[in-house]
Amino acid sequence: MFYRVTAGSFAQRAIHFSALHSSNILQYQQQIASGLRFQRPSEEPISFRQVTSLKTRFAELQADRNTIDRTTSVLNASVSQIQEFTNVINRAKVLTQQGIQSLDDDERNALALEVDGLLNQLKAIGLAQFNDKYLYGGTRSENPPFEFAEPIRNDGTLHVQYHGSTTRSRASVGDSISVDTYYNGLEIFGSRGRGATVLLGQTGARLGSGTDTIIGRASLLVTHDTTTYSGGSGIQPGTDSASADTVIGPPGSHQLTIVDTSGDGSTGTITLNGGPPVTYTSSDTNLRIEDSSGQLVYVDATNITAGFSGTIDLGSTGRLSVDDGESDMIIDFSTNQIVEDPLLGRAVTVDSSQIRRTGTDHLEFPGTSNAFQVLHELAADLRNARQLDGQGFAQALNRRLGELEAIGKNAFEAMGEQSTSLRTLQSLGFRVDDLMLSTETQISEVQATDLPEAVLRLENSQALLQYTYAVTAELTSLGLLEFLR
Amino acid sequence: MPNFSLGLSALRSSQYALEVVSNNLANANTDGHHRRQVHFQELPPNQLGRFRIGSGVNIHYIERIRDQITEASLTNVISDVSHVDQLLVLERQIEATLLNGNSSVGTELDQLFAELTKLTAAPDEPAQRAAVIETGQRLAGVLRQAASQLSELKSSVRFQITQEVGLLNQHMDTLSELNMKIQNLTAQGFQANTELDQRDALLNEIAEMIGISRNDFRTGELNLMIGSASIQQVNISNQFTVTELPDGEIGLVLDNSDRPLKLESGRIVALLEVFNETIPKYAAKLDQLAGELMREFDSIHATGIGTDGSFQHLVGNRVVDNAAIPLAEANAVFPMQAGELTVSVIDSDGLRRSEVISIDPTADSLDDVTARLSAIDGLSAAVNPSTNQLQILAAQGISFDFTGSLETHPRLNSFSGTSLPTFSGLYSGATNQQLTFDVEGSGEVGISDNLFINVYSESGTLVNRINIGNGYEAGTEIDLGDGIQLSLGRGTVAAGDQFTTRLTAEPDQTGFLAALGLNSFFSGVGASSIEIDSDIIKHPGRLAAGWSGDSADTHNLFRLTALEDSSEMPGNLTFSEYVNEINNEIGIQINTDSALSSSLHALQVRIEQERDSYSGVDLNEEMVYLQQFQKSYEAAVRVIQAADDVLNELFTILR
Repeated sequence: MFYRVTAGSFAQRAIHFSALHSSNILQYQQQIASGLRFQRPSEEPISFRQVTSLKTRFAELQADRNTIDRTTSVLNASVSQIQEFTNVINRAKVLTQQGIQSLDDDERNALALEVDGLLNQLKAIGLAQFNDKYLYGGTRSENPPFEFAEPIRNDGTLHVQYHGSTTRSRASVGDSISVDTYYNGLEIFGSRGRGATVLLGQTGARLGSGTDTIIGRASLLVTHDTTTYSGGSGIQPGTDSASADTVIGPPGSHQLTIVDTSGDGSTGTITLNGGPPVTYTSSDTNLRIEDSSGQLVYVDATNITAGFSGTIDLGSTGRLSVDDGESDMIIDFSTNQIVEDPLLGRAVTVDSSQIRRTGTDHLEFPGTSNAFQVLHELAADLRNARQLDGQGFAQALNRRLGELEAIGKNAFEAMGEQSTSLRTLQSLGFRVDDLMLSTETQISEVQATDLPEAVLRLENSQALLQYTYAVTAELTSLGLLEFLR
Repeated sequence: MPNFSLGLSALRSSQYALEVVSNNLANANTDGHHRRQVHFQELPPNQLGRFRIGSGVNIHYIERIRDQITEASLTNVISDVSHVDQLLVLERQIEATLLNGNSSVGTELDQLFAELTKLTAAPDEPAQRAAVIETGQRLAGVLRQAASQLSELKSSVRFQITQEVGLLNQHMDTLSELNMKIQNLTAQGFQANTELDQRDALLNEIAEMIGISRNDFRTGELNLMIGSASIQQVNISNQFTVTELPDGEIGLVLDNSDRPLKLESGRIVALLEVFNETIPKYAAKLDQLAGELMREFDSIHATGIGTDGSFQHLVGNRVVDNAAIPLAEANAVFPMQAGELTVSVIDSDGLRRSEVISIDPTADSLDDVTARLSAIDGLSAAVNPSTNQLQILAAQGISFDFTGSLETHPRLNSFSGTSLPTFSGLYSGATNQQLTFDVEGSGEVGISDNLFINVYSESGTLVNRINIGNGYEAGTEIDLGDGIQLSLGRGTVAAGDQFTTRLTAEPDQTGFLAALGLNSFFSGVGASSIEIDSDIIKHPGRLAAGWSGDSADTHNLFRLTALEDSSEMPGNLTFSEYVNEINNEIGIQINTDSALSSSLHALQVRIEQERDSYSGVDLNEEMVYLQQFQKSYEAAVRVIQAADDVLNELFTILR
């Protein structure tokens, strides 16, 4: 049996195939015009998922690239500032050497002036900004990390207040990879750890055994309070004794030798600690007695016991202060006496048992000064603000040199760390670039239209559509009706 | 005598045949038309003498050429094609909704994580913060738009179902009328070909709407089934009604039945399927995506703070149904579990303390938790009776947050010394714990010999022994590990002095903050309501990038960016993978249905051709018949003319 064909069959086929070819042509037109083989999941579900995953990856890589660039900029700026910091330290070391060798005050003052300039330069580095953000305030990048003020105490160190945080800011630069950006300013410019305290002076004060908390430097002020004499001689403190005696010590630490040459106590001689004898009369109410070391006592000789000749012990209380006398404490002549600066809440432990005279001792707390303070102290030492003798001056500068060396390590360590980070960022950047290229290539391979293939297919569909039209026209024109005319 | 009637029968038969052919030609393109074929029959012969001579021709019947199996198959395939095509139309709309041009959920999600990553490199850059918030808004907008479009699509589908059912019922009425007409005509002995054609066309129209199976009897009766239900028996017009089912779905019920029909194919069935299953499925997936995203984001965001610092006043942006019943039963947006919530309170002197409250959602109501929060010194909490929102307010000069950051000073439970312990740093341990510090020896911190602090873990294990005597510089930090440092100021300590502190790794073990929307990044409860919290939009400094409030603190950002690779979604998928999965699922569905549609269309074309090859009108064929019957008609005329001539000749005898 043959298949019965109607005109409707021709029409249906014609419509079916022209719709099919037109649909294909539309698809190829879209592929060629957009450059994309598919744009919706329904067109290529598996490939679409692949492309979406790749696009997600590409977005991640783009973000990584962005953070790498930003982080690199911040670290480059930081490294450049730290490089400046090392230059400052190196120049300060040279100036210190010159200071040690210099014998001329003018030259030292000139060197000190140059150190002042270096300090200003260093302050600017400490407050360096990038993109209006402070580089060395840790996570507090919005506000100036350091505040500088003149020393609170005479002979004290530069007052530096750190307002930054001790936590570094971190940036994500890749899968589970982070790099520190804004560093804690104390890590870079801060002190490197307390060393043994240095005490310079003549009062007899020694260092105690506790761990001090004062930073930088301070003056230990030993002042006289009351002198007392053992009984029998009738001698009394003079009217200026409280303010002008220089002797300090428990009873027996100093001696006064009295010789009553008159036999009735009206005249004689008095000697302090075996020093030169001083003639007295019974009318002396404030007689100055000085020993061979320059120690002084003022005595009242009006009541010396008649006929007394001999040596008596004297004791003298005093006071200690590390805040320029704003607060003080009685010397207890112990081996561990804590002397506090109440305003700063810091203290030093001294051995006061051997304090024998008043005066000002100088305390240095090596390793506690930050970079700014070291430069400030260097300038002060070049000017010999503490009026040290030649040897003390040279030793102080040598200590400054050591501190500059130590503080310079901060800069080198930070620079090393940041340079390593920059190297890491550079290699990460290359890797991310490669990955981005590779991801883009993969996206293109999966999604981009294979133009030659699409064009060929388009041509093919066009040809088929034309054939469909042609054969339809041909067949519909063929009918019995044409022949019946 | 010449028999005119014979010629007349031929003339009449040919004329009828011509009309049948003409009708075929006229209805060549009419839906449901089956070509007719005229069958002639000889009239009974006349007895003329010893001969029986034929008396002419008559039309025996007009056959409606139709193959029942092909017609039934066609009806079935029409139903299937209509079903799949309708599904495809709607699935393509769902696909378009989810992709939404260049700003798809997936793209915006990737962008949000990318902007958060960028923010780690520029945390103090207001423009970058704005970019994060802007991208978050776009993501929320795309999710909302997708959810809204799905909802609108569902409404449209619902409307279309109603319309279609109305039309179906009209068809049922028409079908009933046709059945009656066919029955009457058949009873009167007429052929009801035209009505049968109309019924075939109508049944195919019904099949497009709803899958039917049919059995036609030669008598014109029709047995029609929808699923297992037999419908439209003769003159009974069944009516369909859309009914709401208890689970929010809708179904079709027949007449007064209380059970929805089980349907298999057809346009209405596709609409029901999309309304009941497809749209809810994708809406649920969007909701799940939005919900998990909000929960994870907000859980992290709630335990951080932005550059605006800690809070003096916080209002939750999510609520529970009833503040008086246990949280687990109060329909909270996100589930909660039993655990501790650490509230950090910063007193007016800047000192931070940690207050811990326990929450058991199976036993504690929001009112209970509110009371516990209010019991914290310096804080007051209340549930707004009109909105059910939880509000926490700090006293003047006091602020609070949920960072769980270290307490500035420990709890000096039993401490007689004058030295003040202070903590600093950020705890990096994995679990919450309480450390106990016991002083060993007595004396001056930083001065005395043999002065130590022994550190004990919560279980009582000695974890550290620290020198705080000679050799320790009072006021300097001692590293205890896990990111925390302890310093002791100048002063004394005595043997047996003890203090404790709490280290918080998980400030909110319960999920309470996210569920109540306290300090959250997002607001809303699902895809249709997700938004960026209005406070964050107004005050970008509220974006909780860190734990300290410092402008370049990125600690919390790292936790947020880690969510990108975190498998939080069902099937251990990341958020991006889940979005891909949704797109892929609808893509594959469309792809499969497209293939099925092509196949079914090809089948339909083939069956239609089968039908047309049998029942279709071929113009050429009909033209041949036309010629044939025209010639027959002419011949019949000649027969009559011949008879007339014969009769005339006969009458000439009489003239």
